[in-house]
Parts: sequence; C-alpha cells; structure tokens
Amino acid sequence: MKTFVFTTTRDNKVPRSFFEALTYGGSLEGSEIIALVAGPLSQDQETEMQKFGRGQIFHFNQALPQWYDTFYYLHLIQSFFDEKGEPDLVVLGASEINQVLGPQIALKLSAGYVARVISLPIQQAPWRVKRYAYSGKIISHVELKTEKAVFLLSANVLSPIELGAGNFELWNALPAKGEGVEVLEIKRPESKQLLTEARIIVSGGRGMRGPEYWKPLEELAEALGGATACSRPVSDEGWRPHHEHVGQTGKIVAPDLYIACGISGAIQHLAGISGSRVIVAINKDPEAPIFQAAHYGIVGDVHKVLPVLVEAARRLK
Amino acid sequence: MKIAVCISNVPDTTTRIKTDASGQKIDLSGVQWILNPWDELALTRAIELKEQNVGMIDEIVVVMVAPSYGEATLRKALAVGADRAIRIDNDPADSYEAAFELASYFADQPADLIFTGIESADFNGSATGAMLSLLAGIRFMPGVSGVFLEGGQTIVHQEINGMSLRLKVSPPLILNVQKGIAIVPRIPAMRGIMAARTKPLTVLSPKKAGACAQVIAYESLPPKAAAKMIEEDNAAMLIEVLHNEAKVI
Amino acid sequence: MDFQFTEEQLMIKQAARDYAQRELWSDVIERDEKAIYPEKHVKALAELGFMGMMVSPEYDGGGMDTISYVLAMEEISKVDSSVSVIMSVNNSLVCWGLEAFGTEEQKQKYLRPLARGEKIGAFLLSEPEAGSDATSQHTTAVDMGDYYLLNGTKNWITNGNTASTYLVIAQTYPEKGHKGINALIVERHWEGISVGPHENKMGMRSSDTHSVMFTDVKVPKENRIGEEGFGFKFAMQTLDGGRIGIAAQAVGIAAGALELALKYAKERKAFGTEIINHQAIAFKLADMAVKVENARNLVLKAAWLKDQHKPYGVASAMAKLYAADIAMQVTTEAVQIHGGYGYVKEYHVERLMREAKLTQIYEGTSEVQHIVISRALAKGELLP
Repeated sequence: MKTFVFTTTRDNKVPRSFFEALTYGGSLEGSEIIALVAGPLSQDQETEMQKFGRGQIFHFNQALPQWYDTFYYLHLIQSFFDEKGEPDLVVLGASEINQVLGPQIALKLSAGYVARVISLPIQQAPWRVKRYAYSGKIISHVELKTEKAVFLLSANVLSPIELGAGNFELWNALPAKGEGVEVLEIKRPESKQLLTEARIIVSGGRGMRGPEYWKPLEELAEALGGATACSRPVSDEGWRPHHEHVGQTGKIVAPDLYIACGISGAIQHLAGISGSRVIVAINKDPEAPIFQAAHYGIVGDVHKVLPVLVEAARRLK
Repeated sequence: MKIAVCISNVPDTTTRIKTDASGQKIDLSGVQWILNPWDELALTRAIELKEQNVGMIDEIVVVMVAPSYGEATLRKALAVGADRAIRIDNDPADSYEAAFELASYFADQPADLIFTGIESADFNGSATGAMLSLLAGIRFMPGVSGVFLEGGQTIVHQEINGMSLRLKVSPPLILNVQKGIAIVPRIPAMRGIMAARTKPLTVLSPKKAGACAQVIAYESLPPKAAAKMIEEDNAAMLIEVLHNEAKVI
Repeated sequence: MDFQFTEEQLMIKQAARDYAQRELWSDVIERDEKAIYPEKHVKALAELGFMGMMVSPEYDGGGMDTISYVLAMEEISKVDSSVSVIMSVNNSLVCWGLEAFGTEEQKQKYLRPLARGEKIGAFLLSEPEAGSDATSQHTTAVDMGDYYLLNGTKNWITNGNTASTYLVIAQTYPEKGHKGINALIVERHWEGISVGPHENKMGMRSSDTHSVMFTDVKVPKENRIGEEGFGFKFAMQTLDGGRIGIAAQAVGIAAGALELALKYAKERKAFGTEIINHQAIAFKLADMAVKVENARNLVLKAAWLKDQHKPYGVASAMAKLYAADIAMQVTTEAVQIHGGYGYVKEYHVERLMREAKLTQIYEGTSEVQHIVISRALAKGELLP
C-alpha cells in the first residue's frame, strides 16, 4: 500500500503536523511512505527530516505562490502522482492548506475523505476511522465505501516518532499557476507562530479587563515559547486581532498546553480547544464552566497570578 | 451579478448531542436547528454587498441540500434578506454527496459569487466548498475574511497559513468564508419576515451521487477527571506540575 | 385547540432573543446602575421593526399578531425591562391607540413615524393625585373653539423625555365626569411643555420616567382622538391591550430569572454535588417553572383573544395580575437560589427582582386588576 504524505513549508521549516502524518502513515500495516515537501527549507530542517523521516521523501525546492493558489498545488500533486504513481492512501497533517487540498485530492483519486481523524484506523478494509463531530461534542466512527482514502488528521493526535529511516531527495516539476489573480497587498501578522500549530497557547478573555492588561499574558507566552490567543468577546471588542480568536467560529486549536486566563468557557470557546492535551484555567469565578474542561485550575485574580507564573516559567528555562 | 450562498442547517451550538438507542444515529428529537454560524455570516456579507452596491447585485439565492426540516432555516435566510431559496431534497451522508448536488445545481444555474462557510457545525468536515470547486470547475478562494466589489472586480481578503492577503480577482468564484467576513450575523427584521412570505422557495429533486463515507457508530467522549486545583497563593506550583507531572513545558 | 406556534412566530421570538442575549446583555448592568437611556438599542430595535410590530404595513408597521408581540416582549424582558417597557408603551399604547381610533390624517402624520420607530411615543394618563383612578383627571383641556388649551401635570410618564408624540388624557367638561374626558395628540416641542427630572427608580432604571407639565399648551382640534368625550373610553380600551404587553414583560422577567437560576443550580456545587441535586433547590425550580408556564399561558390566551377580535379585557387583567405576582415570587426565589451571589449585581437576578416589582404597580396595579376581574365576575361575564 502506497501512502502519500504532503506538506508545504513555512519560514523554511516543515511543520510538526508533517511528522505526525509520517508517523501515522508509517504505523499502518504494509504502508510504504512516499512524501512530498513543497517549498524552501533551511539546512537544519534537512537534519530534522532525516531524524523523523521514513520512506521516500521528495523535496520540491521552489518558492511557493504568494497567495493560496489551489490550482497550483493540485497541479503540483497531480504531476507527482503522474511520475510516482497514484497512492492508495493519503495522510495529511493538520494545516489550513491541507484542509483545502485534502478534499480535492480525494476527488482526484476517487477516494473517500475523512477530516479531523483522531485515531489510527480501527480497520483497513474497508477503512474505518474515528473523528470528532458536532464541534468536539462526540466521536463518530466513519466507514469508507471506497478503496482509497484521504485522511486529514486532527492536530496532536500522536507524537512523531524518531525513526531516521527516511530517504530524502530533490524532486522538480513545473506546476501551472492559476491565472487572473492580482496580489494587491501581503501582510504577515506579527505572531511568529500559527495558532493552529502552536504547542503552547496562552489565551485571554474578558476577565483580563482590557487590552492594556495584556503584557503579563504575553510575557508568559514568551517565557513558555508559546503563542497568544483570545476569546471571542475580546476579539469582538477589538482588544486583540481577529486572527487570535480561538473558538467555534475562530481558530480550532489543539496544543499540548492551553492556558485560559480570565475566560469563562462558553460552549463556543470550549468547542475550539477541546483537542488540547492539557488545559489550565485561571479565573476568579470558581463556578466558571472553564473549570469543567480544565485539567488544572487556579481560582484567583489573573493579574496577581500571571506575574507569578511568568517569574516561575523564566526560572524553569 | 448573482450571488449564491450555500447554507446548512445544524443543531444549535448549545444542544446536547446524544445518540439514540441504537448508538448509531444522533437523537434529533428536541434539537433546535439553526443556520450554520459561518453560513449566516456569509449571508450577512452577501446582503451587505447588495445594499452597498446599489443595482449591482440582481439577486441572492440561498441553496441547501437537506430534508424538508431544513425549510425553516431557508425561510429565515429569506427573512434576513435572500431573494430566493432552493432546497435540494437529499440528506447527504458526506461532503461529497452534498458537493455533488450543489455542483449539479450550479452547472444548471450559474452564479458569479458562490459563498460557502468554512465548515458546518455538525460534521465539521470543511470539505464541501473545496469539492464543489473542483466538481463545478470554478476557482476556489479559501480562507476568505473579507470581500468587496470594485468595478466588476472582486477584492478578496484571504487569511491563511499565517498570511494576510488582499487579492483582486474576477468572478466566477467560490468564496470559502471564515471569521471576519461579517462581524454580527443579521437578525431578521419584521419587514423581512413579512417579505419572506412571498419569496419563492423551490424544492429540487436530488441527483443522488451516493456518498463515499458514512458514519456507522458514535462514541461519547471519555469522561474527564475533575481539574486539579492549585491555591492562588501557591500559583508558582502550576509551572512545576506542568513541567514535572503533565510534562508539557 | 392548537398549542403550536407558527414558524413566523418562532422566528420573531428567536430574533428578539438573539438581539437581547447578544446585544442587551453585555451592558445592561451598567445601564441600570447609571440609569443610562438605551438609545442605541431603541434605535436598533426600531430598525428591526420591534417598535411598531403590530401596526399594519399600510402605516409602516410590522403587521405581526399579538402572539408574536408577546413572544418578543418576553425575550427582551428576560434581559432588560427598561428596553421592553419602551417597546411596550410605543407598541401597545401609542401605536395601537392611534391605529384603532385615530383619523386617517392622524395616522399618516403621527402613526407612520411611530411605527417605524423613528419617533417614540408616550401615554400620559397618571397624575400626581390620580394613578389608578383615571376618572378624576386634574389636567384640563379647555375648548377654545379652534383648539384646546391644555394645563396640568402628568406623572410617571415612560418615555417622558425622549418621546416626540404624547397621547394626553385630559378633562374638557368636568361636569360630565369621565364622559367629559378627551384624548389629545400633543407634540413634545410645542410651547408650554416642560419635562421634570428623570425619576430615580428602584428598577427599570434606564427607561426615562418623568413628569410632564403643560402650561397653556394649544392643541388643535384635529389632534383629538375620536369624538368629543371619547378620552376615558380610549384610555381604558388602550390599557386593556397595554396590560398584555406588561403581562408579557412580567413573564419575561420571571422566565429570565428562572433561566439564570437553573443555569446556576446546575453549575454551583454544595455538599459535594450540584445544588440542583438537592431537593430544596430542585423543588423550588419546579415550582418556579410551573408559575412561569401558567403565566405565559394566560398571556398567550389574552393575546390570542385579541388576535381573534374577541373580548380580552378580563383575560388581560388576569394575565397581568398573575404574571406580575409570580414575577415577584420567581425572581425572589432566583435570588435565594443564588445565595450571596444573588444579592450582588453581577448575577442579574437582583435586578430582575427590582424590575418585577414595577409590573405589580404600573399600567394598573394588582389591586386594580382585582377590581376588573371581580366586577366581571359579579356581572357573570366569566361564566361559560
């Protein structure tokens, strides 16, 4: 069984979700990995690739289009299949680009598509996997009617295992670009990490009282090497930028650690964080629903607790 | 110019999701159905565009693939400001089946801008828009957080993979919309509710391509242990347990 | 017998709920505390058509039935009765009164902007020495040939300062008693009108309640509603309908308190379990739910009778009496369930309790409702 894994690079790096997908694909019986990494990579990333790699990994070492040109990526992948043969299974790590490509690759391969997969397959013929449904309120078992399958994994489903058995080589193609799109402006938000890929997220809610009180929260994120996020009321009030909004209608995140500061834990917010491995709640209201979802909790004033945490986190590092 | 908004009907966010006695189906009794939150924002933006660009947009059509119980939601969309509603009479088991019905509809009834919400709050597959694009052969714009019309051109704000872009692109387009497309979903006004009485809602028979995937069982989430509480005065302990016990930092 | 709401009625209920929970909730405590008039909310609700929702579309209204109106009133009142009382006065007293009894000219000139909610109306009946007893009006409207000369003071006037259109009840022929009373349309900006300070109320603190003084105000004859001497009948008939709105408000206050108490009881733990698992709390909640349901059904019955053009005066009196009384009881229990938290403003229930009290007093006190009901009983009107 030929298993295809795909990722694009960002800032010359391979996202961790790629290694998660490699590990997932490699864990299946009779699976032969054939992977494609699109975009430039830094030297140390090639070492990383050797560490976690498995099967055959091809590197398409070209600058990627400035805008998200689905036509281009689809054409790139089609060229790859034309040359290396069509896969039986596609495993995609959680990323916004894969979220769009997954369904389209599935159509190309006449494969069944399952998004937000949270476990290794229950069985392989026919394919049967588990996934979250109803915004994380229940788990569904999905069975495919097709021989081929495309799985988009939930973030943090498994930890990448170091195998160091990969074969890494360059591969080139000339994908066609989508015509008729003019790029007027490109901006990169200040945050260095994508929320959807961050391992640690420190998030603030209305209980933070106002944008001027965000400093200790940012300091904690920095001390832990994490990203900052916020709840919906905070982004609606304009205290923090929209792209930081975590929740049902914002970003769905699944970090190792999610620290909720002054967030009451409305059901819409919980829907966005339910995939987190460890949730910490800091809130002055002991009845706040966030404590029901949390693994660790502190009932107290965020403005007193945060500076203490910042100091402790700095000592740890 | 014609705008179509693909909408779906989902259980209200606060609904407790439970399975029926068989464990294989969601118990839909007592479920309050709502317009999928992203689709609601898409519709809101479509109406804003029509209001802001007087005379430019001929009509806004809402299209839903659903059994008859979806009609209340369609009529709400009409009350909010859509001009016409289409229900394709199928209960799709997966995104492919839904996308196939929509693609067949748009092959027959093209639209310049087709809005799809980034995901539906029931199956959260985030796949229908992308599949529709490929099936219908219409350019797909994912991660759309803003759309404006300027002289026959469409200006699209795209936020994806940590990048924020402003693009100029010509219709036809499928806009997969996310957060930011509109801020507050529109509430139907009395005038709109009255007007909806006479707006057409057409039911079309499905093409029934058949699904590629089906849910065969549900499983509830594993129970969660109570949170371990740390005293406020001892807050630094938290960093210690996250490091030594949870091993996440 | 059919207890099924129409899809449209449910849509209106949901629209009101969405607005209340999404927009009114976030700043209601501040508005109450500082007694800030909810200007932007009144404007937004007007744009949605809630300020003239029962007026015929012919006069720019929403054309909705009374059932829809009470459902909307309930949802708004769950969050903020200062807003719903503005809505109630405009809809069921001012707009309804004008539509039912006004001339075509009056409707064109005054009803249209009121129905659109561009202008807000007030109903001026109560006086310093005549609250419940509407037959003894001290405000006079002396017939001067072409116009009436209006003098006197009106008290406790909701929308007293913000309204641009007043419906004023005044005595023209004292010798004729209540048959000498007229109802006049008065514009707020006319000469001789002064408005007293904002009343510092116990509850519904952000609705603007004022006294209004008239000194030699000239009211053109064409601004009289109905025939000469129709004023008392006008006031009584209009108040019959108004009571339905206030009864719906009381149901909303009670239902809002019940929702909050239920949510709290499911979250709050005591003696190792959520307090809803303690019978003392659970039974309280059950009793509260029965009362709310009962009151709601009385209100819906009155609204239904009105929609069917059947007599609804007694039904609306019953609805208002019962709903106001249980609003007081249910909100008090909601505070009790919340314990100490219930006594602080952050948890909303103390405010609902303060708001509930007013529903037993205005637009006919509970005592007046008893009179209406008992007189009907005496006349045998309630017998099948």
